[in-house]
Amino acid sequence: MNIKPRLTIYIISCLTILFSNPNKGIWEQYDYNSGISSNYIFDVEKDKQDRIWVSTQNGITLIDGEKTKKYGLSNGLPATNIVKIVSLNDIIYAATSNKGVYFLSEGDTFKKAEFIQGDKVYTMNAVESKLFISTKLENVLYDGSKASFMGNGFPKAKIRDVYVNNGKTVYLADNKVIYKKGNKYVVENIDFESSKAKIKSYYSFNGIEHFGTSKGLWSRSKNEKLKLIKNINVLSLEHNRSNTLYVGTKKGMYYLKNGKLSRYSPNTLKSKDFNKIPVNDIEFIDKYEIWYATFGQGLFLQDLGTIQNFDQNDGLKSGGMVFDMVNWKGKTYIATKNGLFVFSGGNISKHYKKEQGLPSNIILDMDTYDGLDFIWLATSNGISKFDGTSFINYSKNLGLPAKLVTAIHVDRIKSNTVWTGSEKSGLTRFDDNGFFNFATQDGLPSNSIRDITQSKNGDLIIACYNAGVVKYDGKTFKLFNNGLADKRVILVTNGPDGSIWAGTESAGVGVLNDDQFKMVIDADGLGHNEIFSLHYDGKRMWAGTFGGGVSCFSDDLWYTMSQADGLASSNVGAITSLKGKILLGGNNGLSIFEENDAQFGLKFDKILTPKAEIPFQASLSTMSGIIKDRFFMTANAMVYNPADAQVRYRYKTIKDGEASSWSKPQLSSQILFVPNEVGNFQFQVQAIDNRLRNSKIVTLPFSISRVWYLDPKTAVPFWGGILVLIGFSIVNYINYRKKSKEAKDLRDAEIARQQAEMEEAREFQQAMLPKEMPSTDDYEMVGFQQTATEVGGDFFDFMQKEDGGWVAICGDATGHGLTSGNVVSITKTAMSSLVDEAPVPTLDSLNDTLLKMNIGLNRMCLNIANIGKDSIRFSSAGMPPAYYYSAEKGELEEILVGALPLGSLPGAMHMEQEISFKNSGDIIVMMSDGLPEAENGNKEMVGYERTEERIRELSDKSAEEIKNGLVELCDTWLKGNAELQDDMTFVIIKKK
Amino acid sequence: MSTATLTTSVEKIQPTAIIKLDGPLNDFHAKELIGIIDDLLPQNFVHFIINFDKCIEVNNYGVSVLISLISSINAKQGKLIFTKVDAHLEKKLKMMGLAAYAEFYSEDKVALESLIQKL
Repeated sequence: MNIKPRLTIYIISCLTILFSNPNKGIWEQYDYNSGISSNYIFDVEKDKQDRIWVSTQNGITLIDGEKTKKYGLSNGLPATNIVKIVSLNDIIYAATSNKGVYFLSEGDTFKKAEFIQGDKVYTMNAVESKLFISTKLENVLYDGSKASFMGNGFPKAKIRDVYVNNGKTVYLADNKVIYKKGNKYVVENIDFESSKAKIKSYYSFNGIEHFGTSKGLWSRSKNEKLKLIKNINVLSLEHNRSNTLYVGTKKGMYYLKNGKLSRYSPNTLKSKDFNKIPVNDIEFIDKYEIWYATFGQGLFLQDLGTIQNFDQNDGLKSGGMVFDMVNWKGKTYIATKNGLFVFSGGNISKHYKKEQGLPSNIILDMDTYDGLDFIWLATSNGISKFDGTSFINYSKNLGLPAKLVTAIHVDRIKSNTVWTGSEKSGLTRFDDNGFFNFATQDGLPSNSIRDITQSKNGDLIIACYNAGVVKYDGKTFKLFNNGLADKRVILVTNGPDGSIWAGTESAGVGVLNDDQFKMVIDADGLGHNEIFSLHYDGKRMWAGTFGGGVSCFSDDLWYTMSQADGLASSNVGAITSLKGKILLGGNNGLSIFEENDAQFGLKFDKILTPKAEIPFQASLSTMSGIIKDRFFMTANAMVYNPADAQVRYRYKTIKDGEASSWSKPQLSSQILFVPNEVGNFQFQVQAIDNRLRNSKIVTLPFSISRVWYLDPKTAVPFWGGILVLIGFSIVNYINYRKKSKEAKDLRDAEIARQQAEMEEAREFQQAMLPKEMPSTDDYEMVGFQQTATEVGGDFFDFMQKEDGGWVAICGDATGHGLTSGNVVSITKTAMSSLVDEAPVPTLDSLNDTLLKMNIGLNRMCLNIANIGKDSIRFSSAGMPPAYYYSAEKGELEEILVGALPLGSLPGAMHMEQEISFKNSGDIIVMMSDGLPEAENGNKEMVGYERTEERIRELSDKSAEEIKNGLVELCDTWLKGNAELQDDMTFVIIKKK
Repeated sequence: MSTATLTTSVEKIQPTAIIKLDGPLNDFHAKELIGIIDDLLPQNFVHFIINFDKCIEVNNYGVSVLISLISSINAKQGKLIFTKVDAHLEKKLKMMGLAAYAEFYSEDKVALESLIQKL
């Protein structure tokens, strides 16, 4: 037999043994405080959506990735023990101890199953694609629509459990096993030598049947007698699909391997405490995920595959840090400060110390390679060559420049040549010619050498402390430290694509490419900046740190694990790889890491779009949106790690077959997608577990368009419509402006016409006033009129009678404008024929005339002063009082002859007053109401008293001066800030 | 001439209506008073008390309107009474001959009592 296949088989068998020991692995406890309904658990089940269902004596708990949900009375479940839980065809079935079966198909409410008779349920299991239920009344198979009796010879028995594996189904009654043979069920009685033994669980592997009973764990091989393995009360059996049987009992857990039954317990509890706890169910998903349902301590999760630790309890008494590890001839050699350990078959198989020939127990470095017959060791007391049995030591007295050797490297090109480094004495070559030393005088940048490796072309790569990385081609030393943030280089190794990686004391890792270092530090994902070990496993770079655990660079991402993730130590001093596993040496022993290649599930609880909140399943159909829309997604990684594992999320987009690069991983499960362009996108999300485990990539399709008013499909009609509307509006506006202008022109023309008409009226009215005041020897006669802004109705006149006497009139037609002008015109015309009449008949006649003219609400107020030789006969119709000044008496008298204005009523009465007017200086003043009712800015009138007083003051003045004085009174009163609102007219007659 | 609005309120005490003027009685608004009286007369309101307390202006046209009411009221054997007339307006109304056709009182209540006594 070829030795290589034999070796391979040996190694695989060793590893199989190593990783099947349930005593190892990482544990986590879930109890009431962490969200489980109760610490008293009957059953645990994982469904096809990677959700964990836990049935307890107080309802059901769902562990859904990173979330936990409890189902209890408010969810339709009865207040009783939920003894079994089964996920089948996307429906959750819950069997109770005395209330029948309940199921959950949608929403959050369980419903009572009506298809089963009997409330006391013994067991419930998925059998192929059907649900088997055993109750006090019947044993049935439920296919989702109807329940059928088993028939075909199936006994009326209390079925306690059903074993289904590899197409074999075995129904377990108290002391019977029932299975199908052909179309018939066969019942086999099992004789346990004790009538009290009742079968609780069953497992068959490697041709051996195992019966877990209340009175022991039993086994039998084919054609052999039943054998009691141990008298323990077995509640559950599970198997790792290899050679280990997991046994849950009423008092803790056992595992059966190679015929030996051993106890084990979670390392989160003391063994003696856990060994009192019933273990009702064991759910073996794979070696990375094993669930234990206990009755009193809650739920346990065990990861037996990812990390296994070995320490002094396993024989690795390292005395502190592991400095180096090498694999040689199928075994792993571990260099420590307490000698050399050999790890083989999952055990520390050998321990070499000074007593066994080592020059020193402190071994700082080792080197060998496949095919070499030795391992070379660097110790604190020289170097040593180990052939697997004995050591050949070389110390200072043979030419080694220093006792303390910090680095050793076996030349891969030149045979029989070994290179060593020392703390202060530079680089040393040891070959058939003995030791030859290189120091700074030979061009070495520093005499402190901390690590040595070799490139493929044979050049030595040397970690020169306080200088950088040095390449030695056999002739010259070339220093590289451009970009190196810390020149205290303690490690060098070859990386991918000819790169050289250097570990520094405090600045992380430097990656040398093209004579330039690029630093990788903790901010990039490295566990810590103090580097303690480097290892390239041919695919990925590993960096052990002092305090930050180990970091692995894979697919452009750094993954970091530490003691919190289950490593023996966060100080990792040595790393090596063996058959896909990574061995990490630290100051608490050895950790073996095995990557779980299986991708875990990833789902989204909800996706918030600008339009709606979309359930995850529905979101798998294309979601539509517009540029700059914000799509919020809440990711849920369906991974269960029994440690504080860190899940990060990254995403990328694919458009037209072109993928963006992955985003920088984020810790938040809230993911935001904001499309920046139009098109069909595939938005991909992946969760990353820091244990080098990734989720399946979930692709969410998006169809992104422009906002509707920019999308050509909708924008053209919209903007077209807008343009048409704008055009229509412009045309309308132009027409409107045109018509407005025409209307304005018409209005302006009309106003101009009216103004012209008013001006004509004003001119007409003014034309009716005397052009000149009469000039007589006996009287001064002055008439005055100041028109207001509008055409008023005031007028005055002096008419000479046939007898030579004079008639003075002063009138005021009510109203304004042309109408009042007409009234004045009529009055003046009629008056011309009445000038020789007495005042009263004149007014009566004028009254009749105006009434006949039907002048509506217009009236004529009129004063008539018929001036005789020594007197004035005065009459009035609706006019303000006249004022008479008697020069003889020196008194001013108001003369008020009240009467209705002319044109008011037929037969209106008028009266006459005769005033003496014979003395020189006698004055009579008639006026309209313009002056007395003139208002200033404060709306105060001049008033009759003020007018009368002013006339009194002016009584010694001429008629013209009196007129001027009254006008001045008006002007003073208005003060320039008010306008005359009505015509102001005076007639003043003074006796000469 | 004020262009302010004339508002009126009518208090009906059959067969008397008290009309309170608020605003100017001039060319712009005086005709409204004719409309009010014309509406009330057919309802057998024949006596009218016109309160000038808040009447800010009465020009000649306004007086013409008052004069026009006289014949309508007289035709119904009604009476026209003015109240709250200030001195200037009273003088104006008297010089324009309205004293012969209407009575002047200081208050509506006094006017009303006087009217009742005479009836």
